[in-house]
Amino acid sequence: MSQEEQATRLGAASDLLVPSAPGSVQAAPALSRRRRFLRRFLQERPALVGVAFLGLVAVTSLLAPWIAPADPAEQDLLAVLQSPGWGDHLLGTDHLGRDVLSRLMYSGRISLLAALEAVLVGVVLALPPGLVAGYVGGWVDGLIMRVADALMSFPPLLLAIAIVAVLGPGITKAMFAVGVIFAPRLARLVRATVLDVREETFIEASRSIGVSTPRILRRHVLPNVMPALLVQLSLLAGIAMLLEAGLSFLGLGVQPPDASWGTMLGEAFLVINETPWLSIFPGVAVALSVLAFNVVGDGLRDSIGRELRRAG
Amino acid sequence: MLTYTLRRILAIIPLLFLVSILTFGLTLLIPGDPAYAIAGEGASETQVEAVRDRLGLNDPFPVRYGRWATDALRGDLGPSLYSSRTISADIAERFPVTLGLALLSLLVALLISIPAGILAAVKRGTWFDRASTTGASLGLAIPNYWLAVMLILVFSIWRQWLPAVGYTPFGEDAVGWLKSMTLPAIALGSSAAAQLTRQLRSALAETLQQDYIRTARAKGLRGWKVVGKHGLKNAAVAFVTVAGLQVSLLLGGAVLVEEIFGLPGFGQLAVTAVRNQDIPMIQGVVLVGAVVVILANLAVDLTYGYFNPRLRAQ
Repeated sequence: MSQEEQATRLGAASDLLVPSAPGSVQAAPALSRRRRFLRRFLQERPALVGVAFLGLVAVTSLLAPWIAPADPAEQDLLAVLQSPGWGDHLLGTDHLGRDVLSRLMYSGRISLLAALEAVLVGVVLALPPGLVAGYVGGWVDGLIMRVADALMSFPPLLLAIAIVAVLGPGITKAMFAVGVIFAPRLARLVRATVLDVREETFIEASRSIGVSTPRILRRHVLPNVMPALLVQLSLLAGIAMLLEAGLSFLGLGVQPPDASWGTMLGEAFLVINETPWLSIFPGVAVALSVLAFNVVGDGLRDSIGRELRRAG
Repeated sequence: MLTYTLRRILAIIPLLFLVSILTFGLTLLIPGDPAYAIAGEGASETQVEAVRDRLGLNDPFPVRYGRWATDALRGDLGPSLYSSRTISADIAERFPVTLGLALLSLLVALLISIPAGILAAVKRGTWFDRASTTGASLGLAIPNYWLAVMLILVFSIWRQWLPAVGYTPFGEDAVGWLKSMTLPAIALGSSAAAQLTRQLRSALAETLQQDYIRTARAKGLRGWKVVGKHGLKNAAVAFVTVAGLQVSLLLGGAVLVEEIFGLPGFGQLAVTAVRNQDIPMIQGVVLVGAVVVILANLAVDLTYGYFNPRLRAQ
């Protein structure tokens, strides 16, 4: 078995820290399938905890302007580097006297939005070539997959840094770069799923009654690609958060006065000798969110996977 | 086997071609006139013109690519925009640092994942299995740069056992090198360890449920012999694939880890180049990174012949 077949078998993004995804999807009545999937997903306890945690992060960061104890940008130079405690600042203050808890809440919003952007860019860049490569086949498939191989040969973070170098720093550009990294991996997954679906009887039937290729792709192939894609997206969202925090840590992502958890970690590292706890909170926030995305992804995969086994 | 090997080696030629086009094409992403971007803000018209001349930006893209690629094939990546040195010289000087870090990280990952993965698969459902699975999930979620910071906090600041920053070349003092590399290698290797543990556990657990394993056991083969001889060899293909994929992640992760520990490696070169807007240097670093990954993948492909006799027969 060649490397690329192995890679497909192991899941499109397996080289980006995530476990494998299902390769094939059966056609079944949409509604009952969705309901069965939902029922199974509700039994995945770790995944539900993950959803709850991410929901909590989303709600606190969205409501931050109303519930945060202080203005995240307000400096109090008389109260810098205060320890966490039951005083004015529950999680202490940073080197400019800003309230750490408020900053964590506000930066959660940027971290989540950044992950969302990277994943969306990845999907938009990956869906058309993936669908076409899988459905059309032949030299078009060969060409698209070779370009994907070439893109996947670049070490992910190095490629992101290179793209930021030419586009200039900033969170939107940095997350576009991360989306570019995701695209070939997603395109591979989409292609592999399309290859499975392509030979199904219902596709053949549509073709035989003269349905156009774009319509077959949109109406029949795409819905079957979605489950595998959904699993992968959840896992990639976690990786996007890791990469965002990494790029912001290097000063290439979020630019001041805005902050993400990565920026907070970068600032905290500068004063690690005096205030070690400052490095702990943003790191824990990133790690827990990534863990949550991963368990949600695993839960989604298992819920879909079981259905596959039954249908198969 | 020979045909298989040759085919694999030949297959990397078009890949290298595409990688070089993509690398060189990075300049096409520069918004506006690249000469202005490269010369930096506030550069005078003469400076911009000098940059344009030096990089041959007046020529069309294919001509520029042809020139760059032929030079690159000869090992010449051109001059850096910010130092008098050549890009190839800088990379050649920095690369051994990163290579050492990556190899040591891979070693850390293998030392953790092989025993943990095997034990978890063999003792499936026990407390050890659950502990290693949880550990692996955490290892995947914890950012390696944060782990790096925490390791510095514990082992360099609270307990002054290992240095937080600085690098000792292996040739000068091997013990000093190991001391300066231990924390970076643990930080960088942790996610690889987590992923490899997961992979080995699931591949081996699946293999151990196969019929031929039951047959081997029924024949009276001892438990560990079954695992070693039949189980591991069959689980190895997936494990080696994932291990090969780690090379790319380790090279990428090295960027952050080197920055934190102040290691004068390849990743630090990349970060400095980005801060200086040294685009030719970035292109050089990215190209070399991709070539290393392609070669690592080739090595992985070639091991399939060993693990999967069917490939040899073809």
